[in-house]
Amino acid sequence: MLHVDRVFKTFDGDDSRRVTHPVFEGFSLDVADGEFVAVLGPSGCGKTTLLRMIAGFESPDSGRIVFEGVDVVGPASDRVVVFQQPGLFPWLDVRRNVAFGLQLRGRRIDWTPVDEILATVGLAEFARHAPYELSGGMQQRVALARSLVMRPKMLLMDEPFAALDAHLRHAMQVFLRDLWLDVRTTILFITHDVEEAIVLAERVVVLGSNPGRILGELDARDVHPGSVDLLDNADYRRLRHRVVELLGEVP
Amino acid sequence: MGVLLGTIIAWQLVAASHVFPNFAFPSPASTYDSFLQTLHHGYQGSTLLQDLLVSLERVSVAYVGAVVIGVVLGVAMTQSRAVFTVVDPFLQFLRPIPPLAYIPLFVVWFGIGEMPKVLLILVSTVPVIVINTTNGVRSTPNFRIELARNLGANRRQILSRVILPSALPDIFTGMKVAIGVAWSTLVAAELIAASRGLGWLIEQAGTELQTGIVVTGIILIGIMGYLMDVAIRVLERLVVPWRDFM
Ligand SMILES: Nc1ncnc2c1ncn2[C@@H]1O[C@H](COP(=O)(O)OP(=O)(O)OP(=O)(O)O)[C@@H](O)[C@H]1O
Ligand SMILES: [Mg+2]
Repeated sequence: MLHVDRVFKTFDGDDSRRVTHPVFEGFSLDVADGEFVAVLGPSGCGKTTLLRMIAGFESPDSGRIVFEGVDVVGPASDRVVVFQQPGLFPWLDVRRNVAFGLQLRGRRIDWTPVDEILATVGLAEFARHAPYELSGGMQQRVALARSLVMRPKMLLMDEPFAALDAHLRHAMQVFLRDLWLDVRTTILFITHDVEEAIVLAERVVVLGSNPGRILGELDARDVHPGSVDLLDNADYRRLRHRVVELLGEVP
Repeated sequence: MGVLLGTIIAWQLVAASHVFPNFAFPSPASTYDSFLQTLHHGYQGSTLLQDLLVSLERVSVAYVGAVVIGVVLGVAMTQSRAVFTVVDPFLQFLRPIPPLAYIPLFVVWFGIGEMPKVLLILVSTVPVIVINTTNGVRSTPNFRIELARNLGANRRQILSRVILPSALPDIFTGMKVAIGVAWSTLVAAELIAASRGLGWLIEQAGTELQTGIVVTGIILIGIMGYLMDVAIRVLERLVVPWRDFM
């Protein structure tokens, strides 16, 4: 589904930061169809840069990013991003926000998928509300619905729940996990929250910095966000320990 | 309201003290007399209502024109390097020049009809709108544009469905400033061979030391400016109810 193949990326430094170290030097990653992959790593290691290159907002200096057999040359609605800020359009109500992508193809659309997806994210009764009338978690669910309604082959999520409080974050994790079990869209989920990575994803990719590289990968299929007390879960403790070990290798 | 009442009382007290001669500093009472006089009998062949309506028309036409031209120009300047390079120097150059300075030119170019008056107000008002429009366009959050691109928007759709709505709050800010500019240019505009209008009334009465009428004109301009400002705020609340939630 997705091949990131020996990618190099360095940002042009401005005068204030004369030294620019490369973010990636020959970085590779493969994601299979329907997989839920979490990318975990310290701040500044290049997680967002990786996601933006896959999305097509940035291009690698060299190397290839191949999505569904085609080189990525720019953003497209088969790979949709969900950022940390919901970024809803404040002048549109919830329903029209969700329909935004569909209406780019023509103003007259079939509203059925829009209403279905709103029901899926549990916001059917808020369809006519303005975004600013919703809580942060609800806004993020609208943002998710706006992406999902495009039926993307892949969701690219960059710390989408980082701005939410712990309780809401947990609810959203359960929600996203159930959604994924249901629709089986491929998900690349970026976070620097170890627990979030382990409970959500099937596979956790741990990154290190300078340059961004894979320190190790974990199979986290056995731990789910529903688990009552994670600290009682031996699998979780083992995985968490392993992550700390991996990240500890960074000087 | 209390402030207003206090001002009028203070005004009456200063006038009554006769520190200034009455023709230079009319009391509220004599201003009110002048108001009634011009309202019922007019001044030099033009009633107060006619003056008010003709000024309102000049300001409104110029203002609407300035908003339309200003928004179009402002957007064009952000979308095309060429337009920016051509227009921006003019804008920067013209901004500090008081509108009075154009009057002789405008008379030569456009004669002494309505055209030069409306154009003078328009020319003074357009830069405010342009500057706020370009600000609004430039301050559109990047993630919003990226999201739209990601969902499949082309350049034109990004402009009309993301950038323009994002710029609306700033455009309204410009419109609120512009309404003040438009009314304050009115007096200068009506220096151009006018025979009615609030600005004309003020100048004409001024040359005849009819200060009561001058003050009447000033107050009416203030009230009109204020009412139009209120109208724009109401419109703003209808069009961009989300402005405080960006
Ligand atoms: N547009 C840019 N211009 C210059 N340097 C950049 C740019 N974007 C990112 N960088 C640099 O690239 C490196 C990786 O940044 P990136 O945002 O990908 O990290 P991250 O892993 O997402 O960090 P965080 O966890 O804090 O979000 C950093 O050193 C950052 O300063
Ligand atoms: Mg990041």
